[in-house]
Parts: sequence; C-alpha cells; structure tokens
Amino acid sequence: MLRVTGLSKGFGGVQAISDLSFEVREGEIFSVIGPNGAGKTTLFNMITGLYVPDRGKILFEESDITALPPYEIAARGIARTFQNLQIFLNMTTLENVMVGCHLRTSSGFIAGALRLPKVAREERKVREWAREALERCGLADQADATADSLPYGMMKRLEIARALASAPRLLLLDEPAAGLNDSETAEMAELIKGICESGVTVLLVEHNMGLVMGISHQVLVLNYGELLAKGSPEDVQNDPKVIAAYLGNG
Amino acid sequence: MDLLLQFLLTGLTTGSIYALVGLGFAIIYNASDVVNFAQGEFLMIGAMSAIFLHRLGLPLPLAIAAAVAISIAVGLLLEKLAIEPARNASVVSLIIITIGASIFFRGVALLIWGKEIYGLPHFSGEEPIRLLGATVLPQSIWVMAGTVVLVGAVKYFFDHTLAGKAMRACSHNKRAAALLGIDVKKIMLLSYGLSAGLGGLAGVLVAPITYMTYDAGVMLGLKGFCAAILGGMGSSMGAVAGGLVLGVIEALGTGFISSGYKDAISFFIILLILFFRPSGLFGKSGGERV
Amino acid sequence: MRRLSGFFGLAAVLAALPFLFPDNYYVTVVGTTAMIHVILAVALNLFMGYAGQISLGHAAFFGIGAYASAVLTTRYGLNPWLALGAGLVATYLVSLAISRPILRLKGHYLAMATLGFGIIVHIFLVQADTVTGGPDGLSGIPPMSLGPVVLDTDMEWYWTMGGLMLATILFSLNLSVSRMGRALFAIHGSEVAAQTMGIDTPKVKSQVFIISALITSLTGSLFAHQQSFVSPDSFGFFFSVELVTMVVLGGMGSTFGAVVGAVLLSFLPEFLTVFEDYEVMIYGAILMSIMIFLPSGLFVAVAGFASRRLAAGRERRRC
Ligand SMILES: Nc1ncnc2c1ncn2[C@@H]1O[C@H](COP(=O)(O)OP(=O)(O)OP(=O)(O)O)[C@@H](O)[C@H]1O
Ligand SMILES: [Mg+2]
Repeated sequence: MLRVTGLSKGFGGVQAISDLSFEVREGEIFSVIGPNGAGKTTLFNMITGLYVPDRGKILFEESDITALPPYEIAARGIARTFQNLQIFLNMTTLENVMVGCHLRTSSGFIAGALRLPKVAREERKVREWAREALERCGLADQADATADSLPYGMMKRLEIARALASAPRLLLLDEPAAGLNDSETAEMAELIKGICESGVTVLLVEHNMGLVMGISHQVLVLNYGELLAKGSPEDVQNDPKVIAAYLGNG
Repeated sequence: MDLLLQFLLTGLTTGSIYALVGLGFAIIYNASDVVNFAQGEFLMIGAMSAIFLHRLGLPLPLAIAAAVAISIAVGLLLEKLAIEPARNASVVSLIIITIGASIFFRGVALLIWGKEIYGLPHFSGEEPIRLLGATVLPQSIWVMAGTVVLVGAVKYFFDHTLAGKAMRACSHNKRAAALLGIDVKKIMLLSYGLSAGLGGLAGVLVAPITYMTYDAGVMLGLKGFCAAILGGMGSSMGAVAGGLVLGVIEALGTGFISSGYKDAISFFIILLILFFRPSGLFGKSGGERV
Repeated sequence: MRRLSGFFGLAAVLAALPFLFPDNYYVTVVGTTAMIHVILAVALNLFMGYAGQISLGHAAFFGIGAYASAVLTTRYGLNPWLALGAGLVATYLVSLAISRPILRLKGHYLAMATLGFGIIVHIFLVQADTVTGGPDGLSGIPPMSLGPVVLDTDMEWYWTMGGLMLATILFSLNLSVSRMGRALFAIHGSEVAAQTMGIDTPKVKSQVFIISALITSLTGSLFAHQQSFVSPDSFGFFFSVELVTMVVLGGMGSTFGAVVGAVLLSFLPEFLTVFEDYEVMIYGAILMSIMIFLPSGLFVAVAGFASRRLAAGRERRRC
C-alpha cells in the first residue's frame, strides 16, 4: 500500500534519514521504532509532504506522492497525528474533528456564507461523522469543551479522532502513547487495534515497546536514519543488532 | 559621473540613518523577538528633545547628551511597561503593542511640541565642502562619521564585552542563556536602552538636515525596518549594510526617476525581497521546523 | 435561530434608532461612519481574526474602490454602478496578484509586506495627480442611485450602509459555522495540521484575502459617493492601523467583537474632541493597553465573563 524506496533527508550536517526502503501492506499495523533522533518524525513529515526528501520515492497505492503538497497527500487518503500536538486550540473539540471532514465535503466560501440548503445538509452530515469519530476515541462527552481545556491524554485522542474523521486509508500515528499512564496506554492499544480492524492501515511510531510488540504486524528499527532491522516483533526483539543498539544507546 | 557621486553621497547620508534605525531594530529583535514599530519614534524623541533643550539655552553638546538620555529612558520604560507585561503575547499582539506605543509617543510629542517644524543648528557650519566635483554638507560628514563610530562601538560591544556576549547568547537561545546564569530580563532591558540610545543619537545627527516634526519618526522607522529586512532580519551588520544600500537606491531613484516616488521605490524593493528572498540579501535561508 | 439572535438584535436596534432619535447627528452622521467602519472591520476580521493573518495595508483596498469610483464618475462620467464594478475588478486583480506571494509570509514579514503594499498605493494616490487629483483629492463625485432612489441624504445613506453592514455581518456569522470558516480557524490554530487535514492552505488564505479585499473595495466605492469627495488622507497607513485596532479592540476572531471595536472607535473621536490635542495619545494608549491587559479583546472578554456567569448560575440551579 505504501512503498518507500531509497529515501534520504539531511539537515545541514545531520543525516536524518539515509537510503531507507520499506513497504507497508494493506490492513497491517506497521511500527517504526528507534532511539530519540533516529529520524522517525522526519520520515512521517516526508510521507505527509511537510518535508521534501533529498532523494528517493514514496509510492502510495502505486502512485507517486513524493514531494506533493501536504493537502494533496491528505486527499489521497493519508492522515496523521503529531508528536508535539497540533490541536486547533481556538476551537471546540467537536469543531476540531469537523475540520477533519474537510476532504469529505465540498462547499465553498460563498455557499457557506449564504448558508445554502445544501450547506445545512452537509453540516448535519459533518456533525454526525465528527460525533462518530469522537465516540470511537471516547471523547463523546467532551464535544462542546474548548480544545485547550482538555487534559493531555484526551488531546492525544482528539488528534486521532480528527484524523479518523477524514476517513483515511492510511493513518500515521507519531508517539500516541507518549505521556500516557499504563491504563491509558492499554486503552490506546485497543483503540489502535480497533482502527486497524476497521480496515485502516496504521503506520505507528512509538517508544513504548510493550505497546509496539503487542499490536504490530511488522516492526522496523531505525538508528541514526538507517534501517537497522525489520520483521515480525519476535524477529526484531531477538535481533542482536537491535539489542546492541538499544543497550548501547540506553 | 559627478552626478553619480553626488547621489552616492546623498544616499550614504540618508542610508547611514536607515542603518542606525535598522541596527536598533535588529538589536531588539535579537534580544526579544519583537519587531519594534516604535523604533522611528526614538529618533524623533532624540531630535525633538535636543532641539527643545537647545532652545531653552543648553549648549548643543549638553542638549544632545540630555536628549540621548531621554531616548534611553523612553526605551527602558517601553520595555518595562509594555513589552515585559506582554511577554507571552503572539507576534500579532506584539506588533500591535509597538504600533500603539509609536502612536502614543507621537501623541505625546504632539502635545508638547505641536505640529510646527523644527530644526537644529548644524554641528559645524553650513558651508558645503567640495569633493571630487560633488558637494557635501559638513553635517552629512557628521552623520556618516557618526554612523561609522556608532556601528563600530556596537560591534565592539557585541564582540568584546561581557554584556554584549550575554546579549548574543540570549538571541541564540534564551533558555540556555538563562541556564548559564545570564539575567535574561536585564539583557532585554539593556537591548531596549541600547537601541533607543542609538535611535536618539541618529535623530540628533539628522535633525540639522531634515526638518523635524512630531511625526517624522514614522517614515524613518519604517525605512529602518526595510533596512533590517534587506539585511536579513536579526543580523545587526546586515541591517547596517541594508540601510546603506537602501539609502543609495533611494537617492538614485530620486535622481533618475522622481522624488515623489522615492518611498514607493524602497517599499517596492522590500516587497520583491520578501517575495523572493525573505532571508534578506545577506542572510542565509533556514527551514522551518515541524 | 438562536445562533443569529445577536444579528437580529442588531438589526432591530438599527431600525429603531432613527425613530427613537430623529435627525440626530450621532445616529445619521456618526452612525453611518460607524457602520462603514463595522463593514471594514468585519471584512478585515475574516482575514485577521478567522485566518490568523495580519494586514497593515487594508486601507489600500478601501482606497482602490473609492478612487475607482471617484475617478471614473467625475472624469469619465461613468455610471456609478459600473465604476463600482470596475473598482471591484481592479481590487480583484490586485489582490489576486499579490495574495500568493504575500501570504507565503508570516508574522512580521507579512505585516511588513502588507504595510509596504499599502504605502505604495497611498503614494500612488498622492503622486499620480493627473489621474487622482494628488494630495487635494477629487471632489464633485455624483450621487449614486439605488433603483429609483437617488442616495443623497444622510438618512438614505444610513439605510444603505445599514443594509450592507447587516449583509456583511450575516456573511461573516454564516461563514464561521461552515466548512470554509472552520478551515480558516484551523489555519489560525495550526497551519501544519490544517494542511495535513487536506486544506489547501495557500488557496484558502488567498481566497479569504481576496474576499476581504473585495468587501473593503465595495465599501470604498460607496464611501466615495457618500462623501462626494475623496483625498489620499483617508487611505493611508494610519487608517490601516485604525482598522486593525477595531478588530483587536473588540476581539480577534469574533464578528461581534469587530462590530463593537468599530463602533467604539468611531464614537471615540466624538468624545475626545473635547481634548482634541490628546486624541492621538489616548488612541495609542488604548491600543497598547488593550493588547497588554485584554489580549482577547473587550467584547470577547466581557462576553466570556457573562457566559461564564450564566453557566455558573445554571449550574447552581441544577444542584
Ligand atoms: N527541521 C529540522 N531542522 C534541522 N534538523 C532537524 C529538523 N527536523 C529534524 N531534525 C534532526 O533530524 C534528526 C531526526 O529527528 P526526528 O525528529 O526525525 O527524530 P525522531 O526519531 O522523531 O526522535 P524522537 O524519538 O525524539 O521523536 C535529529 O537529529 C533532529 O535534530
Ligand atoms: Mg519524533
């Protein structure tokens, strides 16, 4: 579904990603792990079009999306969350998720400002979709809260709800469990599994090994921007190179 | 050729003033990330105070020293009363605050000095000096020489004094600077004082050759901002170079096109720079981090 | 229709005022000026408050509309409505041309670019005197007619501007609860996230900039006919700053905030005439202190306080 070949990206002296290739199959949870600064977020930023790769190609469902602008990549069916939250703090929880429905609707400025009948219908649908997404992420009773009043854990789930509202086929999650306690992490694992079961392919970046090994179909280990190992969770856990890298880096 | 030299001299004179205002912009921007739209008012305050004190009978050097002291005081007050309380405000809010401050200063000047036009006596006579077929006023030499001295002093301050180095550290990374034991608050205050003092001096230097009114600071301030952008926002010496370039371009524009459109030419150049090279003529371009 | 209760309240007040205070200078003259300011502030708020951008050059669009009407009707005898249309076309082309490059910029760069644009237009109005009449401006702009009615009394302008103002406010309120309105708020909140949600941010920003410019230009054309005289003074940097002040005074992002800000700032000079010399100073002081002490704006702060009190009251009753 997603094929990355020969991807490279440097920032001045730092080579954040070098010559990385891998393939994500439809319907799986594919995890990318690696120490801090390994280049995981940079990889996400390239897949979603926020950074332009120096070299290499990104193919999504057989079509080249390398260096397309982010909104076009989103339109192909890729949604994401952010490691450092990017919530719309000036809106309510529900409105945040309604923004997620942008691509599934079409009314423009004039139609909206004149509130044509078509717009009212569309709004009802958008509300419904948004409430559904909130429900899935356990945020239904926070719908009318302003987003900046939510506790951290809920903000993390709000980002997922917003991404789901766009009905993506591939969902990129950047450290969804960071900063969560054990029970919240367990809930998050269930949520991600549920998302995958509903037919959305998941590309996951996460430091919590329990979570990663518990739910992933494939795991890729990055180290200083290079692929260190790739395979099933068991293979990766037993790979001497991985053990060395993790022990070595602490 | 003579004409060109003449334009060049005129351009370098106004350019020197833009350079000083631009330098003031850069100092404050580096220390506090604030673009100070009230920068031009420091010039006006410096010039008007010097004129006023001189008229009251103070000898010129004393009047100038007092005027610079007044500008510095105003700069410090601005930081203490308006910028510091709004530390966490957004960029847009800070822009509006400093615009508000500039209107306020203008309002006060209007109250004190009215709408009349004032002038300061030339520092050393008004007899033009002939130079390779062009003429130059002694005051222009004062302006250019003064700018060289002031820029040199600022450079020395940044490179060789503890406070200057601390200020540079703050502009790189405030948190790290605070961890090193630098009193960031004091540095911010210092930057406003320094910048206001420079502005005041620049005002005093030009007062004899441009008429001063309560609202003379607006255009000068904006041109200083142009200089800072031209040189790459945040680079002190870039702002100085930007000011000189802008002054010369304006003088050439005035000479060869039309004096009425000279400000339009400057702003047109700034638009081009912003559209095609937002990091300035001399700055390096940097990416944004997500 | 609870969503629009504020709108209908305002419409009722607007309709009642001329009957409550017939021939009152503050209603017909200052009131009409205030309504012009409200339209401009609401239009600027779409760009600044909704989309989180900044423009220090909006007076230029007001000027382009006003001068298009003034020049074309006085010098070429064009029908006022055609002149107004020409102003809109000119504004559309100008705003379209500058929107993409200008809106790539952010923060102070955007402020500086819009400011520079405004100053260039202003200088052109002053300098191109064979067309614009230079610093003295143009007088003798003919009145325009709305169907059979020739708009030449204060009252007629009151109703005309009132109608346009209500239409603009409704436009803005409806937009705020629509797909594109949310896209604007999203850009304000996080441009990166907005992009990854599929919002074509360069296009949307450019669209809202153009819409805001067009409303401003339209109002400029009407202003020229209402005043029957234009001069560059009305379209300079200071007026752009005044418009920004109206938006932030009431509260960025809130339509009624812009309304309140514009009304307050329109009546302020009337009260300050007593201390005419202090006007500029007080103006600056207000601008600074609002941003320092009430950064969310007067209207938003007061409305927020009131709704919290209300909510607290309801809470107590429930217990
Ligand atoms: N915009 C940028 N400019 C300069 N350097 C960058 C930029 N983005 C990332 N880097 C650098 O690239 C490297 C990889 O960073 P990245 O954020 O991708 O790591 P990561 O694997 O997500 O780490 P973490 O687990 O801490 O989130 C780091 O050295 C980082 O400093
Ligand atoms: Mg990361």
